Amino acid sequence: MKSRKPLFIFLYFVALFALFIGGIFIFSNDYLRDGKLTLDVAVEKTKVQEKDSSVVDLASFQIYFDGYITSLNKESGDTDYYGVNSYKENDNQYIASVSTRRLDKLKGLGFFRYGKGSSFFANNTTTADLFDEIYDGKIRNNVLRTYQDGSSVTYTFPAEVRKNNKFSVRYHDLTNESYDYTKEEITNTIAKNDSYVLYFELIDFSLIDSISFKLDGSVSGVSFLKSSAGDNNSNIEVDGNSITLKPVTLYASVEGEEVKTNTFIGYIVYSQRISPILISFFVTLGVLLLTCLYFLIFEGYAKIIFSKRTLMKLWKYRAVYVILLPSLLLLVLFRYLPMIWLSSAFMEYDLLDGLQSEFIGSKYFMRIFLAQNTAEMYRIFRNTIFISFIRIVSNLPFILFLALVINSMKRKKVKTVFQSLSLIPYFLSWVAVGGLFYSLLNSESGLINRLFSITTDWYHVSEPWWALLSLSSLWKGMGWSAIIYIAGMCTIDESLYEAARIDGCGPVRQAFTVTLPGIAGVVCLQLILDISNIMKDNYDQIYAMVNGQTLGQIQETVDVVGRIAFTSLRDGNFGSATAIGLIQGVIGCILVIIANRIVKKSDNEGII
Amino acid sequence: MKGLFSMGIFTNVSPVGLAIIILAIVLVVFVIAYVLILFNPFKIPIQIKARLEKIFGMIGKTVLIIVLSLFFILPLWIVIAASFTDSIEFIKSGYSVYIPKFSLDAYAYVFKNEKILRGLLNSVLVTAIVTVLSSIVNTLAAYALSIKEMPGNKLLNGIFVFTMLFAAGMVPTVLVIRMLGIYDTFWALIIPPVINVYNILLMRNYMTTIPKSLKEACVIDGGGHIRVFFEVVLPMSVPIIATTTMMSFVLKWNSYMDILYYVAPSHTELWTIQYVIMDLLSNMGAMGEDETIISKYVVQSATIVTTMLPLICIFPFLQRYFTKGLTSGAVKG
Repeated sequence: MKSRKPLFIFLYFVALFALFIGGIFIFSNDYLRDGKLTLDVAVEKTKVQEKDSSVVDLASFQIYFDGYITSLNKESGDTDYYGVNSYKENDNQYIASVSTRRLDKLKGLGFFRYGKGSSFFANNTTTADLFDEIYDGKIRNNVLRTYQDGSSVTYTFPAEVRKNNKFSVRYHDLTNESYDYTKEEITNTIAKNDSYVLYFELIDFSLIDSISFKLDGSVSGVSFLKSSAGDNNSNIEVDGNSITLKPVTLYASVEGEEVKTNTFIGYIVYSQRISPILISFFVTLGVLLLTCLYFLIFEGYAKIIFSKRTLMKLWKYRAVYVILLPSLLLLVLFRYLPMIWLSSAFMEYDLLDGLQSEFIGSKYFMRIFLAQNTAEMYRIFRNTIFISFIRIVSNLPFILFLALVINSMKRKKVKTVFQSLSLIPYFLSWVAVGGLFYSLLNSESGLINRLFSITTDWYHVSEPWWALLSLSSLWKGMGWSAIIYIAGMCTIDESLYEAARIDGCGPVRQAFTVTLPGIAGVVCLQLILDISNIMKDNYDQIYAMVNGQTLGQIQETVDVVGRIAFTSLRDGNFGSATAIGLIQGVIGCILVIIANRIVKKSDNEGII
Repeated sequence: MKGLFSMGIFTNVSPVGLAIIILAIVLVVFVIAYVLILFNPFKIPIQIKARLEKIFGMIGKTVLIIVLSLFFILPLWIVIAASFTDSIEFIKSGYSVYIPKFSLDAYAYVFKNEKILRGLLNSVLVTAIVTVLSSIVNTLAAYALSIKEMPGNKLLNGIFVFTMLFAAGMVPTVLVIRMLGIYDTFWALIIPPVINVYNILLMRNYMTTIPKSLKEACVIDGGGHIRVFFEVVLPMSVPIIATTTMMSFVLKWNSYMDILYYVAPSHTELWTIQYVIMDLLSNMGAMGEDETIISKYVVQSATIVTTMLPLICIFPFLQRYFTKGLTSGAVKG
């Protein structure tokens, strides 16, 4: 009876891990931090009919508004920054429920800014400057708005808004109902605790009556407008965690003419809940503990584990556990801990937000297999596999040949010297090997080109590189790989050679009939091992042998998975690189498991 | 592969090149003759055949060994030769097998250049620390994993082996290093490489082949597991420990990717020598210290030779352990 226990235990831990990663996303909700917000936009019926007479009912409004949303998406640069969830109507308004993603990237409306209080008001940030401006009753000078028909308008707000509209934006601290803070006091209050600030400046909404949304967090303060008349009126209504924005009328000039604009302007200060990572961690821990308890109590493991015998056994091996500790710690830190960051493959990862970056699900994976980057992805995976495959297949005969030669050498001294020579390339780094091959092959001063007067520029052309990479792998690794085969050859029975000699076989014949079949097992083992590593690109070889500029030119054959990781770390799109790495890792894992199964089936010990 | 076959016109083949081509043709003729003799389609009488075979065999073998030796040494020799070449001569004639004009200028430059010296120092430090640490940590871990009767042995083995099946990839590792706060510091170069599961597995497999009787003898004498380790397992595992230590050493000495990923591009004080070599070509000017012209390729060659020296020195001492160490436990029988 084969015990399936290890498999179940393994699957259990995989499930637990998935729960942890999933929990990070589940518990993190539609939080504004991700730039997601669902806005209920209320448009007054009569006003929109004035603007576009075809809008007479909900259906025609839908068409009108959809077009508007499309133009906003186009302006902002991505087709799903804005989306409409539903349409409703009441007596005098149409209400569209608009969902946004990446508030910070939206264009065409004005803009949103949000962030942690402490960094919002840090010195020299644009956000601190914005805040300063509206406090003093000024807003930014020029705002560009683009409309759905492609036209655009620049609003210029004079440095001081016209006298009869003069306003300044103050802070209404909801926690203690205080209205009178100075600028410094405001920034200090907001910046000191773990608050977030949502700042918005939405320009020219003559049609829009109000915008409402919910914030998942508790609101600690909002801005309000203090007009010169002395009254405090807020254009922000807070009801629990429901916020409603009402427009403010401001005068701006468009191409010299004065224009009235309906503007939503202000900021909201709110505080965050506990980090979702923490919640997820404790939930996972809870599940783990519960299952342990279950096994302890109900399946009787308690008796076994806590029995004197087991405890004595553990105590007996205490020293061994201790010496295992450092390596285990390092292993967890540098092999298992990174697995948690695999979740960044499902996020639009941002260094500042860390693991709480926005969840985008399988978007990267879809991109890989479908639309945009398919050609690039195909090329990357094809190159990785081809390079490995060509290397394995072309190197094997030569390595075996070398092993045969070394094995057949009789004189010890010559043998040792020769084997040492064959091992010298192994000790060179790929950087050095890159330099070596450059010295041989470069078109101006390279030895081979000069000797034979070849004018081809090998180095900068795509095609030869598969061969070059194979060749350099061969040169560098031949001696080392041959050792395994030589050792195998030593175990072949002498009498078989005797028999072959009697039959009149020369040394060459003997090699084919005795030696090679004798090490067939080892060869197969190595082959299977190598093939299971086919997804592992040797990026340090490629990067060292091809200097930076050429890399771009020879992309066709040399672009491999490792390159994605490398460029992503320079450019900052960690998510997509992790996604590709994840695919590579999973395929590699499956291949190794299959390979190990095959090896086990043929009675060998298996690599694992 | 079309590019391979559309070679440039063989206009000005140098005499040496011509000689090599002729030699190659001779070699091919020789091989064809040998094969013909072996398979004997012309039905030459056996005694003559045997004699011919013997002669061809001897010549063939010697030639083969010479050619192969050249194959291994030549690329290296070219670089060594280039490193001792005068730069002006080098710019004129390029890489070659002989030294047109001997000069130690490049080496003078190398040993006066701060960046290179700093790189060497960093490499030495980093490699020494990592090799020692990883030897200790990995050997201990291998021993612990090799004790089959230890409770949880299977589970622990599984934990270690799983990391060879599935790796999280480069990006998550870098992100973890950032999170741990060691990004762009010296620690990032020495802590992550210490754990090497491949070496642990090699050593574990070797240790399991140590006869149980020896271990039991020590236990009977009143030894605990630690004593068994130091008195029985460790002395007997010297070949494999030497091998893995050397593999660690070589790996770390030759590595440049850790700088690439774990160190910010501007932080040049942390660079190890391999990365300095890579950077050399892009950043080095054409002028030497005292206004003498110096070619960056010659300097690169000199630096490469310098980095090879420690390895070449250690290599002969450890060579005898390789075969034994690598293969016991890996091949049955």
